[in-house]
Amino acid sequence: MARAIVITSGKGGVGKTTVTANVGRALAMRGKKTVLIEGDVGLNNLDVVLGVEDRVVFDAGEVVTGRATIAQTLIPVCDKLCLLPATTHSVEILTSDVFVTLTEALKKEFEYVLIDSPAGIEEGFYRSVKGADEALLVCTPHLTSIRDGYKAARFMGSFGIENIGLIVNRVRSEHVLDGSSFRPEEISESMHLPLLGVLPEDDEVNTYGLCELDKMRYAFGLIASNVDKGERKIYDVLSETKGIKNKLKRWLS
Amino acid sequence: MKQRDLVRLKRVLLTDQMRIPNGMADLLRNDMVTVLDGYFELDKKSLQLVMTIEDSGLYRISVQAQASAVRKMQTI
Ligand SMILES: Nc1ncnc2c1ncn2[C@@H]1O[C@H](COP(=O)(O)OP(=O)(O)OP(=O)(O)O)[C@@H](O)[C@H]1O
Ligand SMILES: [Mg+2]
Repeated sequence: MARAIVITSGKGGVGKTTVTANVGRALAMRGKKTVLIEGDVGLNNLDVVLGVEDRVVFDAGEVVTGRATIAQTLIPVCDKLCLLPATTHSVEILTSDVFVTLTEALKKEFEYVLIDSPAGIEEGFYRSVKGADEALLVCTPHLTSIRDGYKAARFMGSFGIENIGLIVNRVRSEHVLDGSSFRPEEISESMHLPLLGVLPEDDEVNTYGLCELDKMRYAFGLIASNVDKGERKIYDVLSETKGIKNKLKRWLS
Repeated sequence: MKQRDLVRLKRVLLTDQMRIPNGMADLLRNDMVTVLDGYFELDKKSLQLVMTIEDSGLYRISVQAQASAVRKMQTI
């Protein structure tokens, strides 16, 4: 059975698109046929994060109006990974019902359908959530992000999405160590959501959408494996501070 | 994170959930008065409606009121 998973957060700019792209690629690398749907129809960025913006010819709206087929519209990103783009032109056409139909059609061809949701809990959120079976909720260790995420999770609950996994992004080991930031486990407990992944803060994410550094690839790979196999292997941000060199650095500072 | 900040986080999340649509508490209160007044000589002003939410997310709703007597049940 194919799984449609929406990546959402309530609050903007916390890493939904980054997670969609990188977890999508990690699933593809596990050999799973995966498609990413641009659910942020007005402010689409998934194409840029994936580095395929120059290859967008048709978009999801044109599939609906019959100008293009799904096969013509899908953009291959790498082996086993495709993007279904949606652009500003299609905001009107792409209603939530249309999204459900598209998602169902893609579920016949792919094993994983990941939907990148827009920020907010308005129409665009509803559109991307409606066709999904489960969700990944992304937040950062900040009170405002946790609060908005919690609201989004409760909304999803009222749409019947019960399987919601939490991903805490932009975690900084030094803040976890000195107690100046919420720990992922504390956030998971407060939100009553199972912790499915932790991602460290890293400048590389800002430079490239798809991360190439071992550390980030590893962290995204753990999330993909948790999603795929129902495991709970969590990236340890403190591992960065555990080496002898780092210990020395901390003693000397 | 410090205990104080954790408590604050939990409070923020709970009060957001707690928010019951405008006017709903009043409607519910009026309905409870109507229902109870059918059975008791109710002191309408005494009715207290308390809604809280537990850590688990469950709502606990309690209604308290005073009445001076039980109404006579009418039979057909
Ligand atoms: N772990 C991280 N470390 C450093 N920067 C990050 C990390 N995760 C995301 N970012 C940066 O934060 C910014 C927002 O990320 P992204 O676009 O994925 O968020 P979003 O939730 O999709 O935003 P929007 O709500 O606008 O759609 C980007 O510049 C991204 O590079
Ligand atoms: Mg985004």
